[in-house]
Amino acid sequence: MNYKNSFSVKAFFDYLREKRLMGVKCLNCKNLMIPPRLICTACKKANLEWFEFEGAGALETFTILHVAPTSLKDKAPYILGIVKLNEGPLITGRIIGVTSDKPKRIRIGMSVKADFIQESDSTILAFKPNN
Amino acid sequence: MLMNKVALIGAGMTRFHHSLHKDKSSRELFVEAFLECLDSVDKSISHKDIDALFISATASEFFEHQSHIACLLSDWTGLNPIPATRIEAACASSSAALEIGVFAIASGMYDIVLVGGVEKMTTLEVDEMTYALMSGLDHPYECILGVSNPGLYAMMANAYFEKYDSSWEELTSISIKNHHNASMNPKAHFQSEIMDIAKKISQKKGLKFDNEMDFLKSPTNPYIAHPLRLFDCSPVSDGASAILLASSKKAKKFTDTPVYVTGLGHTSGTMSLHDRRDLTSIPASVEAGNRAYKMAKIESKDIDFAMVHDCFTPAEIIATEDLGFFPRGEGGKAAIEGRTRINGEKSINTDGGLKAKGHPIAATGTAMSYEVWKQLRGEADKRQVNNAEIGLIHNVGASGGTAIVQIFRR
Repeated sequence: MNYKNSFSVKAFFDYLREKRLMGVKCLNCKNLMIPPRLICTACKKANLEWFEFEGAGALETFTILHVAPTSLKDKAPYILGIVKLNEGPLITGRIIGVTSDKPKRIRIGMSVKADFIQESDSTILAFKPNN
Repeated sequence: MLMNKVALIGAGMTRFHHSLHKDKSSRELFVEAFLECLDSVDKSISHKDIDALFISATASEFFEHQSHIACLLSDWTGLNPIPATRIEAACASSSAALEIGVFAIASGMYDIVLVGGVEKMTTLEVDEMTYALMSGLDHPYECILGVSNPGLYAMMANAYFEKYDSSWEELTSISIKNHHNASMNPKAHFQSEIMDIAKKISQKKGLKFDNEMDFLKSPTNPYIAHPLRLFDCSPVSDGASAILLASSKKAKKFTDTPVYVTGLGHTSGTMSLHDRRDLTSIPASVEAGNRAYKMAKIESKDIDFAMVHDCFTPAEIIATEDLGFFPRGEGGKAAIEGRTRINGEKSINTDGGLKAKGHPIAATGTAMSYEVWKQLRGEADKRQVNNAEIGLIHNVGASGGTAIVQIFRR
């Protein structure tokens, strides 16, 4: 497979299927980005390489989604969060391992780690609390 | 800088509503707004005076399986063969259309331009509508996870509560005020105070609510995306709005009281919410505000009243801070203290805002300038802001991928 040369949406999801959280590092200014991009958000150079994120971080914010789009109606309520990864960048994921009926147990700042869940045909990014 | 000054010479809109327009499609809605817009021109105007149309519909492909809507609306308004172009920027679509209309006139290409927006939303069930509007988010990195528009603002709200030690109770001041303002607006979706709605529901269901908070905290006000409940969200409405723009040279031929466009600020921000380091502000709004103030050669303190993008209650609080009306962390407190009421320190969302006036997505931007038009001409009846001279609109696309700020004066 040749996808590793392409910093694409497809490559990000192909890596997710392998339980790897991949972004890019700018070879010019060392800026880290996830999901992968083609042009550095800081220095605007197109000189990047793959960078593997460890998947550990802290919950920056969250919501419990009650009114869901059609395809996820049966899954609601489900929890979503934005996680600040230890390497710096933020990313959105599903939050698992906590129940949505106890919002008080979901704390901003709690440490979480990446998990990879299978939903219909694709692998999606999730985070669960570190216990 | 604009080469030529541009003025509003007419404004029209339908009432925004979820059931009133049941039997109408986009074309009937827009024609209704257009006819009122023609009628509003003081010294009358005819079709042949109008040179071009810039029109918005955000998601008509989902709602009505209709694209190529600019041509359709030019045809149905009887404006053929003028050039007609669709402008799309999610919830900020029609203020983007107004901006393009201003540029088209300022360039010297046209004298009179019609701009506006329409959205027929009630064709879909809530879950399908939720999905349709998610097309304005980053599809692979937000949408696939199940992030919705209320979900994004809910995450901003939780980040805000954490940072400023605030809570959901603060948000209720926004919905209570905006319902009050909408109760005086004949174009608004809801024309009743929250307590009146609570009383109606309590009679029907045999429940009892002692006050607004009692109602808002009850299961009758269910969660949409925690911490946001139903009354923190703008409703699903059908509607259209239209504005006629003219070069200042031509404007006087049509009215003695034009409203001038003096400041334009339009910026793009990150598509995904997670690409912002601070989730309690929309950087694109801050920058759009600064650009509009600079062009109008004024500061935020000079604004007499503003229509800000309150798609969800936390959005109004964040907007009043991003636009420099209140310091960081104090937008909610200002609302609680009544400082954003009509004729308070800064009158915010005098028309009821998206929250209570309604939010037919692409109709919202030019509906904001419709209210500014009414206010600056002293035609806002019970909602009138005293000595209104400078008005501002702030229109955001999705979570802040687009932000538009426009300043108008008498």
